[in-house]
Amino acid sequence: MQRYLLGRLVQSIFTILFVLLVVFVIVRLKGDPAAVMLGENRDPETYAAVRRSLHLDDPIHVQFGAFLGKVFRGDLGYSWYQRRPALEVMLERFPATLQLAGAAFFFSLLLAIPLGVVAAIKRDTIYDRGLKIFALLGQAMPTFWVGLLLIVFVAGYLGLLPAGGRGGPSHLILPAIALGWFPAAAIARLTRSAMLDVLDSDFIKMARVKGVPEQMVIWKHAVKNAAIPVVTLMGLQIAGLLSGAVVTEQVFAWPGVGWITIQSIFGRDFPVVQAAVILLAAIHIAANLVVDIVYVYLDPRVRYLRR
Amino acid sequence: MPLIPATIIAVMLFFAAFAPVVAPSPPNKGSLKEALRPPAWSQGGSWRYPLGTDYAGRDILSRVIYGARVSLSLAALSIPMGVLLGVSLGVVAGYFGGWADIFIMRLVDAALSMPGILLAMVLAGVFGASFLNLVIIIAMVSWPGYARISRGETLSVRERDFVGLARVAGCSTPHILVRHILPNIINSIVVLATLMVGSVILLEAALSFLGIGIRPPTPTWGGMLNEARGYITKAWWLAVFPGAAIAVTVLSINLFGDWLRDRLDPKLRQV
Repeated sequence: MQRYLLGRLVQSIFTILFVLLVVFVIVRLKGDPAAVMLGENRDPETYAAVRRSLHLDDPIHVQFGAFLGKVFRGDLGYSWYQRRPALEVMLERFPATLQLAGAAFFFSLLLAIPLGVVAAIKRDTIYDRGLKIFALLGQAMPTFWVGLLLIVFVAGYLGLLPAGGRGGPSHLILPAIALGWFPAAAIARLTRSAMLDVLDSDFIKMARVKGVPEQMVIWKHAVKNAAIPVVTLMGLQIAGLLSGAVVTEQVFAWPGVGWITIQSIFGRDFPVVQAAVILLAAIHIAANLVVDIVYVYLDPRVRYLRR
Repeated sequence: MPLIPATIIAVMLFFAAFAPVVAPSPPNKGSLKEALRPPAWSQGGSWRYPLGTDYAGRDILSRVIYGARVSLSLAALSIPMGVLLGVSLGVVAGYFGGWADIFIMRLVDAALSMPGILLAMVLAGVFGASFLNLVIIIAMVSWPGYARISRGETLSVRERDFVGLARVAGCSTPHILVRHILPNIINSIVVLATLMVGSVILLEAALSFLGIGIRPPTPTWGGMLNEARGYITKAWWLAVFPGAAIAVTVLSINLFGDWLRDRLDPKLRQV
């Protein structure tokens, strides 16, 4: 067990280093990194300063070392557009993204778990088939399209909710539905199959024979035991939600990490883009690691399966 | 064979191949006098523009038909490229084992834990989103899946008798890999590649929607949705039809892929 956890930890560190290497290479593939960072309109003095700060006249391994050193000191470069550290620009947007992803997560659970449980209990009925259609649609409809449809019909024609921006709780509803739609489909499907497995097991039959009321059999005994695979999937979806938020934020003009990333890509504010990639990838990797660790504690069998 | 999905895929392929013949008008021709016409069946619509027109008076139906070209040809080029890269690395890792295996699989793990859309966004933003660049970018984002599957399959095929016999008979390693290993793992790869088509279409649409994919005026489904945003309260049809084209195509491909998986490779079900 400890060996497995240690292995996973080392692997995560390797992955972060790999991400940093990719960022390092991308900036250099384009040619002169100082030019990439500064864009077209640069004055020679700043240009020379950036070349110095990136160690561009040193051998490549020294450049990479300097880059790693900076990243680990929390120095992800300087936003040329906003004239302050790129990390600061990102972190300031982070609460908005977290709020959106959290709301979407909550929405997807609220929808998916009851749907999955009911479909499993009423197997092969119209409910079950309805869930299958929902799940298939959830995987085929792009998040941003769901968002646009919600804006057109719920915000536009019905005029029920605001179409974009960040404000009170009502601003959160549509983006959360759009973003939560995709994970909801996946979670509902897995809840259904996990419930079917559990409902088929001996202890459930035993509980029924003993005369435990059916409601209690399902919601107390079965759902609890079906939760393990669902919890893992949920953990994996959190990482997915954060990157899905990048697109959703653009649809609803939600001023989060994704929104600022896209603005920075358009504005060629490369240090901010670099900070976004590093930050989001680090969260992604950390979330995967946490899921794996939690899962080992919940169900020791997993480490053999996941290899 | 799932009839409806297969028919829809065939129709989309037909659209993509023969867009100039099928589309009622050229995709970029429009006049401002005809701008924002609703679909034919609503008030103010005309059958000259069955699905209505956009802000520049261009025919939505024609643009949706032409949009199939970009989505499908991008998938058709980037998937084989990703497969080639992923399968080569996966087979090498599985067949040789040792350091090659460790190195390649750590690379795969690392690549899989990076958010694909973010990587694609940054690459498209930095290098520019020409068609060729997008093909390469999508291949770069999708190869790890193929590598992982083909490594796993190679591990089990490698131990079978005919591989050992081929080695004893003096076959060269490249010969064994191509003639003996590859044909035995190809089913899983085909199934995975089919299931990936949907994701590739969604990824391309997302990039175009964000404005960092194929540049306008080339009609793409994602790009049309991006343009719809400015007219969203006035013209619902701008937002509905291109998105429906994406959803229907991806849904059909996924259903077809599921069917193919059950036929060719039931093992993958558990993945």
